[in-house]
Amino acid sequence: MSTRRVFALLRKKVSFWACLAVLLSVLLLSGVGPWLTPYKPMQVLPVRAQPPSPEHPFGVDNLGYDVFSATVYGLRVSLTVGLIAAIVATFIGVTAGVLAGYYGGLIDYVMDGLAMFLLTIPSAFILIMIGAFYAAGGEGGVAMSEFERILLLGVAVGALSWHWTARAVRSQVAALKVSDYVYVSRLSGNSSLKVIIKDILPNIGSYVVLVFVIQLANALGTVVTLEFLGIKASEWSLFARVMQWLQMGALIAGVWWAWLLPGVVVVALITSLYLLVYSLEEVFNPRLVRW
Amino acid sequence: MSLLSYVLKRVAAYVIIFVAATTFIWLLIRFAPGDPALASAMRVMMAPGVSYTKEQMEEFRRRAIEMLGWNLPLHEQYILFWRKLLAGDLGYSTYYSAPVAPKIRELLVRDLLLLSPAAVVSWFLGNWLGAWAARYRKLDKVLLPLLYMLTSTPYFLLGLVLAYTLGVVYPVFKPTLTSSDIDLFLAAPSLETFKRFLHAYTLPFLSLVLVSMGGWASGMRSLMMYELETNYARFLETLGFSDRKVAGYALRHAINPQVTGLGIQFGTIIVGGIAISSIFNYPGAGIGLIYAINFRDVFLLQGIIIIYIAMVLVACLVVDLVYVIIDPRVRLGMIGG
Repeated sequence: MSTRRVFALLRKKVSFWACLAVLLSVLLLSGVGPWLTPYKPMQVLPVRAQPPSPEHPFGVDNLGYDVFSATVYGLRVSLTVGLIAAIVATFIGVTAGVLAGYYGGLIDYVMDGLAMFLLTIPSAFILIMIGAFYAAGGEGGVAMSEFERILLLGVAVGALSWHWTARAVRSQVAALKVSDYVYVSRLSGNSSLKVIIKDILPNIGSYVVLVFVIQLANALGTVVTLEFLGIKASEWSLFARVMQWLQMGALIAGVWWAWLLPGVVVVALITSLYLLVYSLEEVFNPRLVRW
Repeated sequence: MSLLSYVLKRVAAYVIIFVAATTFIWLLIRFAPGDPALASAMRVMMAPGVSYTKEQMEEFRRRAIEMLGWNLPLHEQYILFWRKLLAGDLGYSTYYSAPVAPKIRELLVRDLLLLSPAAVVSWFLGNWLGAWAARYRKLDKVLLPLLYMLTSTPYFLLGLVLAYTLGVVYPVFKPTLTSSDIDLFLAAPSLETFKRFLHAYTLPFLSLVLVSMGGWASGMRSLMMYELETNYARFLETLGFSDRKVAGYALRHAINPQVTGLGIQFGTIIVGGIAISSIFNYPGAGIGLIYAINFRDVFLLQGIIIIYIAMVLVACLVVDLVYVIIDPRVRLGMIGG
């Protein structure tokens, strides 16, 4: 499908543009946010538990942190971890899927076993272990630097979530492998590598883009939940302080802005990613549209 | 292939996965920087708040190493770990000041009481909603963004929203779920205690059901739309079958992948349940796990994770057995294994 045709189909889709707008504004917020707020994420203010006001657009939590700057800086951390995870997961998934689908045999068997393992094990548990014992350091252990923690968590989340991508890519590649044009390409003396790169990858390209976005959305959900459970990449991760607030009675005291406003931003971000994929799928796969 | 060999193959696959996962966890802990397992074992021996001399610390360290068997070669340590695990010895928790195994049994019963009804109810509700959304365009327009929003919401966030709105601002329900709420009902089931139980149980239950329902519904919606486009559905339509009848046949096909997913979803809902239980102060594994993470209570963490992984695998096996009943192709040995 040509790019122009895709655009022509997308033009009429209001939901697509709405989601794109939400996505871009959240990205923009995390990009330029630090210049919009005078407060640092770890800066304790003299006031506590202030509702949203022009000076503090997201209010002040009951520890004395400005929630807007906490959101902006936290979003950067969570997004970085999520992006690393999505890149790693998409890369491993597509590579494993292409190899298993094209070569079959032992590679296919091993890939399927690993995928089944990852599918049945709740990966959050493994991530909790990695986060608690490796990223956090603790007694006697060397605490990792922030950069290392972000990298470790991102790679770990990605390395535990490539399985469904690999399976989906595998079945697509296995179908393409027996198609006529691939036979022609092989008969004309092209090496396997060349067939994969020149003939097979371009055909699954649009699917890989969709996979990347879904992986990003999933990874963000995982990262945010881990932050809540205390596995955080940095001290000012988005939801790293929720547990502390709860123990201080934030729920009863009514400091709702501290958890709700960052929550709304994250949910808007993840929802827009999913819905973007959905509208793109409708364009790439007209079978879904009945009406 | 016979039914028995199908079942045996599934069991074997799950046993292999369990062994692999447990080994992985053992390796993660054994080679963690700073030896958290050793520190945890030492903390069990030491009285809190007492400062010890260097020699005493060395002595504790030596005893902890001996207790964990770390003076043995690595492969014997591994065998020792399995011997203890199979004997039901999961170590000692510094948080509860008690052996881990009986504590987890207690947590597990409470968590199952919350998680399994939530998993089942959200499955039925989600599939029902998804099937309706696939059939009616107007409903779909409203439902689709809503369902995606629900799946995108982390469990803990919806839990917070519900606890705050329906528990604190408009106190229709109780924003906490204590063990006495449950135990009272279980000990003396009457209308009075049941009301009290529901009063506390509704909010955590609802937060689990709603998020997990969103995923089922959006999945069912696409499966159902796909089935309604197939040739057999079209043929039924041209024969003049009612929409309801056609949808019934389509549902019968679309439901199969959803059944297989139920066991896997159980794993996700367990993690969600852990987050939820810490919001509602529910005495499940969640609070123990969060403590274990923050204070590096290694044996509690390891115990919870191993037992809960085993639980997910059992759920998957149960689902596989149910699948035999609903899919005649497996029952008659035509596919599977």
